[in-house]
Amino acid sequence: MARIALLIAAFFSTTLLSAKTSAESNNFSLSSGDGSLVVIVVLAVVFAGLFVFLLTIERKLNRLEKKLDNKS
Amino acid sequence: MKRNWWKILCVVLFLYAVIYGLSIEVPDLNRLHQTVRNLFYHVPLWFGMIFILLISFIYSIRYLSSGKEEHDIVAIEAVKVGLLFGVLGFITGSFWGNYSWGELSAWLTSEPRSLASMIAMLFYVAYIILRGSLEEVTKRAKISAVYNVFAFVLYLLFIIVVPRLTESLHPGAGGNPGFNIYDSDNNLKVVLYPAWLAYMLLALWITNILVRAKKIELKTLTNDI
Repeated sequence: MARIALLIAAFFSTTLLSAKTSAESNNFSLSSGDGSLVVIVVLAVVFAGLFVFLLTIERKLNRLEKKLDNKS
Repeated sequence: MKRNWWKILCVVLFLYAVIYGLSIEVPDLNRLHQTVRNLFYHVPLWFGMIFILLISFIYSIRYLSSGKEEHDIVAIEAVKVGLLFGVLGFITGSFWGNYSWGELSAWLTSEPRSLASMIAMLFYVAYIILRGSLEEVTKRAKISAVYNVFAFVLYLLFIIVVPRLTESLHPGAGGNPGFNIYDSDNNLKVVLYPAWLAYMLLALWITNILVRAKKIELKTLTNDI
């Protein structure tokens, strides 16, 4: 699985390098609007919480796997 | 730590996509406006789904050639994660459709791509039902592996080929539901590509956790017996 992930990372790193910022001026940013920082922080915290949850499960699984290995 | 580098990469890319995706300048496209930021959630969810269903497809073939129970476990758990990503893809798509097409149900009533995707997802719902209906372990694994191989081919046909045969509400005119040079912007790609990778790695991570949990469950049952 890690090898597959590495291959994909290599693929996307090349495509990402080819993406340049456009010079067109018809753009506007959310960061200039009211309350945008709050939205960013709330979403970042929610997703960070998801990863903390996944890491907690990982730890529990590690412990259980060790226990089972010791038993057998 | 060495074995978990891709999980760290997933967290970094995910947070990058969320934080940078909300603060970056986006093109002021007609009708879409700020909702174009949903591109960083909706599209990567579908790519995550396709990727993890591809993993399931590969492991089903591996099961058929090796007969190892481990491969069958990966195949079924990957399908579960794929369906989760698909449902989330529909939810994000519905919200986007509500803003840009004017109604929450437009994605289902007048959009061939969404309809085709829903039918394709039903193949996998049927896969889970099929597994549940068979009691004998080896027979269940073999039949569902064969079914999974056909389901993935049909899935690709339904989400890639069918929507291109007709007009679509998705970006790109003339029956092409994909983004073209007029819809997409390089500013978006800087967030979109890492987001694809982040969601694929997240799907892999969740599958990895489910597979490990299933193996522990099976080991515990064997030890108890």
